[in-house]
Amino acid sequence: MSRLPVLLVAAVLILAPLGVGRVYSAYYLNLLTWILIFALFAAALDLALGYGGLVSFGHAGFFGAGAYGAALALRHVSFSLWAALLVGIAAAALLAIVVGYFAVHSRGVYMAMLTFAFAQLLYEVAIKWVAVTGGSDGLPGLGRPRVGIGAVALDLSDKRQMYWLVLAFVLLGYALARRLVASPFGHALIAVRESEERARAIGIDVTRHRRVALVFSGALAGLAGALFAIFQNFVSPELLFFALSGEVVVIALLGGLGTLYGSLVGAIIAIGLREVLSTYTDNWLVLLGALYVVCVMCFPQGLTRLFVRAT
Amino acid sequence: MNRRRFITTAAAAGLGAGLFPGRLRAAEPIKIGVLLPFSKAFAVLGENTLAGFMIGAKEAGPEIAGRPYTIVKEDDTADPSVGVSKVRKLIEKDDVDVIVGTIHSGVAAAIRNHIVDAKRLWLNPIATNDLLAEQGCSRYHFRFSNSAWQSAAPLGPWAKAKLGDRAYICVFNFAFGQQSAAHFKKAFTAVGGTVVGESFPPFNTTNYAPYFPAIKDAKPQFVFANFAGADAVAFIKQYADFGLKGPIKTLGPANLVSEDVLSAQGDTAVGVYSNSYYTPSYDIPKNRWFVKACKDAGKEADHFLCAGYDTAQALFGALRETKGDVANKERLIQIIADMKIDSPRGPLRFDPKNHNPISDIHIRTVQANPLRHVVVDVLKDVRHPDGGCVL
Amino acid sequence: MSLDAVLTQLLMGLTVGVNLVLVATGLTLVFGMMGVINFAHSALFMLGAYVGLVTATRLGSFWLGLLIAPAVIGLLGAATERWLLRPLRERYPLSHLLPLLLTFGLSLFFEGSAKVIWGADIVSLDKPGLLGGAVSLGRITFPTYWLFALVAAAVLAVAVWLVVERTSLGLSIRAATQDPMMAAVLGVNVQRLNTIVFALGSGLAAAAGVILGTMTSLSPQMGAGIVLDAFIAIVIGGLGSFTGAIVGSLLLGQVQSFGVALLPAFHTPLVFLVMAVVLVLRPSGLFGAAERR
Repeated sequence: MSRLPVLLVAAVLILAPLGVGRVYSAYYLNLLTWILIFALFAAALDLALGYGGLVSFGHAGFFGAGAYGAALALRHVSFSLWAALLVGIAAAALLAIVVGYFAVHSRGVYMAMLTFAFAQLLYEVAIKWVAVTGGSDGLPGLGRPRVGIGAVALDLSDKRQMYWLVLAFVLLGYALARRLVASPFGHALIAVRESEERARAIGIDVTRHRRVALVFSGALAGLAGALFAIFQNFVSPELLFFALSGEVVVIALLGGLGTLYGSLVGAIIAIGLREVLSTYTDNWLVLLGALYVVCVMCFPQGLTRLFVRAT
Repeated sequence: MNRRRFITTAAAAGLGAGLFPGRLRAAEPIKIGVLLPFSKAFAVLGENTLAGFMIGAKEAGPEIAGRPYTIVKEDDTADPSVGVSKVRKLIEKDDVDVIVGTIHSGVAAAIRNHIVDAKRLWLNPIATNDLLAEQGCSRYHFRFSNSAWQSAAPLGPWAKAKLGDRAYICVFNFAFGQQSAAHFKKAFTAVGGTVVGESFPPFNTTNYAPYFPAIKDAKPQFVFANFAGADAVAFIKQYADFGLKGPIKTLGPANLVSEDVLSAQGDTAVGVYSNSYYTPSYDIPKNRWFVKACKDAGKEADHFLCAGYDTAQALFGALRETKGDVANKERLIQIIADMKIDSPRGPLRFDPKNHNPISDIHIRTVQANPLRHVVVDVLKDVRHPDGGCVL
Repeated sequence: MSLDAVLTQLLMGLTVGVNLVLVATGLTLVFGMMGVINFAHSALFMLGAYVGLVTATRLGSFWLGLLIAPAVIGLLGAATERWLLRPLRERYPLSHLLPLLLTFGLSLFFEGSAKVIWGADIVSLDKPGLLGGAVSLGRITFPTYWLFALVAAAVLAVAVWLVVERTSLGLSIRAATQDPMMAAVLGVNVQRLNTIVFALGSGLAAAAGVILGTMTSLSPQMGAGIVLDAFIAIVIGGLGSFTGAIVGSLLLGQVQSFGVALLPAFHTPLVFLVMAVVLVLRPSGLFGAAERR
C-alpha cells in the first residue's frame, strides 16, 4: 500500500471529532471508537492468522485478559491509565506465552480448538470467581483514570479526548504491527506460514517464530481489550466468550487476511453495520448473515483486496 | 407508532426547533428510549415487555397534556457491549428524556453508569440485579419487577413451613442463578432448614439427566430451581420424565415456569411452585381488565407484560402531573418515588430507601386444564433489605 | 460412590454421549469428506426440528416429521453445497477459512429467518404417544423416549458407518477423502459426491434436531450449545475419524456426567480442560493421526 491513502485515512480519523455536534452526533464518534478498538483487535489476530498461519479461535481470551487486567489494575493497583494499560498488556502477553507453549505444536483446527479451550477456561473463571471478577454481571463503573502531567491532562469523560486517546494507541499498535511484519522476523514468519519444511531448511526456528508471533499478537489484542474496558467503563465475561473470538475472525476475514488494514474495513462492516441495521429492524441477523454470504462469494479475498495487494 | 412515523415526526420536530428556537419548544415531543433485547435468546422477553409498555402508552393516549411523545426502540441483543453502545445512541443521538430498559442483568450493570452520568430518568422494567438496590442504586433508577433477593429469599421461610426442611438447590451458573441460590439458602437455613446438596448447571444445558441421581440420593423434600427460557423447559420436562416430579416438589423464581415457557413445559410443570409479583389468574378488577387488554394486543398476560405496563403507568402518570414537562428530572423522580400505582399485580409503590419496588409476592402453583398458575399464598409488601444504598 | 451409583451415573452419561453422537455423525461426515467445518450445522439442526414440528402438527404424526425433516433439510444442504460451497471450492480449493465464514453467515441467516417465520417463542414438539411412558431400570425411572433416542443414535451411527465402509458410494467417499485428484482420475464424480455428502450431513443434523428437540424444546437458538459440545467431542476424537467422533462423544458424555457427580459446583470447565489435555498430549485428537494423513 502506498503512503498516500494511509495518510489520508489517518487524517480523516484524526479530524473525525471535529464534526461532532456539527455534522453528526457524539454517538457516531463513540461507534467509531468501538470500531477502531476492534480493528486493532482484528489486526492483532491478523498478525497471528494472516502472517503466521496460527489459527486462533481463542483471541477473546487475550482481549478479555487485557480488559480484566486493566479493570483490576484500576480497582486494586493504581487508578491510572498507564497502570491499566500495562497490566492489561502484560496479562494478555503472559497468557499468550502459556497458550503458545502448549498450542504452537498443533495445527489448523486443532490449534483453533486448543486456543478456544484456554479462552473458555478463563471465561468459566470469570463467571465463577465472583469476588474478584464480579461474575456474569462483570465489573461496572471502573471510572475514568486521569491522564497527564501536572496541570495538562486529558479528560476521558469527554468523547473527543477519549477518541483521540484510543486513536493514538490504535495507530501506535498498527505502526508496531507494520514494523514487525516488515522486519526480518516478519519475513521469516511468512516463510514459516508458506512452508514449514522450507523455512526449517533455511535455518528458521519454526516453533520459536510461531511462539513469538503469538505473544506479539496476544499483547496487541490485550492492548485492544484494555482500551475497550476503559472506553466502555466496564468489563464482563462476554469479553472472554468464544462468540467474540468468532467475531474477530469474521472481521479479519471480511477485511482480508495478511493486510492488517483490512481489519478496519471488516470492523466497519461487522460492528458498524450491525449497530446501524439493528436500529432499523429486529431481524438484522437475516440481513447481516446474507451480507456475510455475499461478501464471501463476491470478495473471497477480503474487501480490502479491492484496493491493496497482500503481503 | 411505527418507526417511519417516528422518524418523520422527529425530523419535523428537529426542523421546527431549528427554525424557531424557543417558540416551538412546548410542542417538541417527549422522547422515550426503549432499550430491550429484540433478537437472539431474550427476544420474546423483550417483545413482551414492550407490548406491556405499549398497552400503557395506548391507555395514556398519543399526547400528554397536549405534548406529543415519541418512542425510540433499540435492541441491546442481551449483550452488555451492545447495550452500552445503544444507550449512548439513545442519549447522544436521540437525546431521549427517559430510558426504559432492560432485562439482562449484565446489560443493566454495564449501562448503569452511562445513564446515571448523563442524568437521565431510568425506568427498569425487569433486570433483577441486587446491586441496583444496594451500592449500585441511583435516584435516577426505578425498578418495576423485583430484585434477585425478592425473587428467592421469601421462598425460604415459606418452603420451610409448607414443603419441608430438606432442600436441594439446582440453579443455572449465572449471576441471577447464583444470587438467588445464595438468598434462598440464607433465608431457608435461618429458619432451621437444611440444604442437602447444590449443583450449578451451565447456561444452555440440554440434558439434565446427570444431575438427577445426586438429587434423588440426597433425599430432599423439594428442589429450589432457577432456570430461564429453553433451560427452564428442558429442566422441568426432564425432571418429570425421570420420575422425580412425584416424590420431590419443585419451587423457584417466576421465570422457572413463567408463561413464556409454560406452554412448552405443558403438564410436566403441573405442581411446580413459584414466586412472582404477578399472576395472570389473580382475581382483582384491574387485572381482569389487564388480561383482556393483553389479549386485545395479541398477547397472553405475564409478568413481563405487567412490569412493562407498570413502567408506562409510572412514566405517563408522572408526565401528566408535570403537564408534560420533562426538563425537571428531580420533580419527575419525586413524583414517581411518591406514586402509588394501581397495578394488575395489586398495589405497587417504591421503597424510598432504594427505589426498589414494594408489592405483594404471590406464591403460586401450576394447575392443569387449563394450564395456569393459581395463587396459594400472598406475602404482603415484600421489600428488599437495606443493603448500603445511598440515593 | 457405590457401584450402583457409578452405574447410574454411567447411564446418565451415556444419554449425554448419545445426544452428542446424534449431532456429531453429520458434522464429522462433512468434515471427513470436504474438510469443511460446517458452522451452519447448528442452524440446520434447528431448522430440521422446526420442519419436524410443522410436519408432525399438520400430518398428526411424529414419525412422518422424523422422516420428512431430514429430506427437506437434506435438499437445503444440497442446494447450499451446489450453489455456494462448490463455486468457492472451485476458486479456492485450499482455503478452510472461507467455507467457515460462509457457513457462519448462513447460520446467522437461518437463525434470523427462523425467527421471522416461526417467531422467537419457545415451543415444544410432543413425543409420539407410543413412547410417552417410562421404564423401570433397577432403582431408576428411565423415559421410554430416551431409550428410543439411544437406539436411534446407534442405528444412525451404524447406518452411516455401513454406507461409508460397505457401499460403492462409501468407497468413492473414502477414495475422494484420501486423494480427490486420484479419485477424479479414476472416474469418481467428486463434485457430485460432495453435494451428496453435504446433503447427507444436513439430513443427519435435521434428524438429530427432531429427536433432541423433543427432549428439550424448539427456539431459533436451540442448536448453539449442543453443536459446540459435539464439535468438541469430534476434535477430542480426531477430526474426520468416524470412530473418533463416536468415542469422543461417548467420552465427553461421561466427563460431563461424572463431573456433575464428583464436582457439582465446579464441573463446567471440565469439558474444556479435557479437550486441552487431550490436544496437548495428542495434537491430532485420539484417533486423528491414525486414520487421517
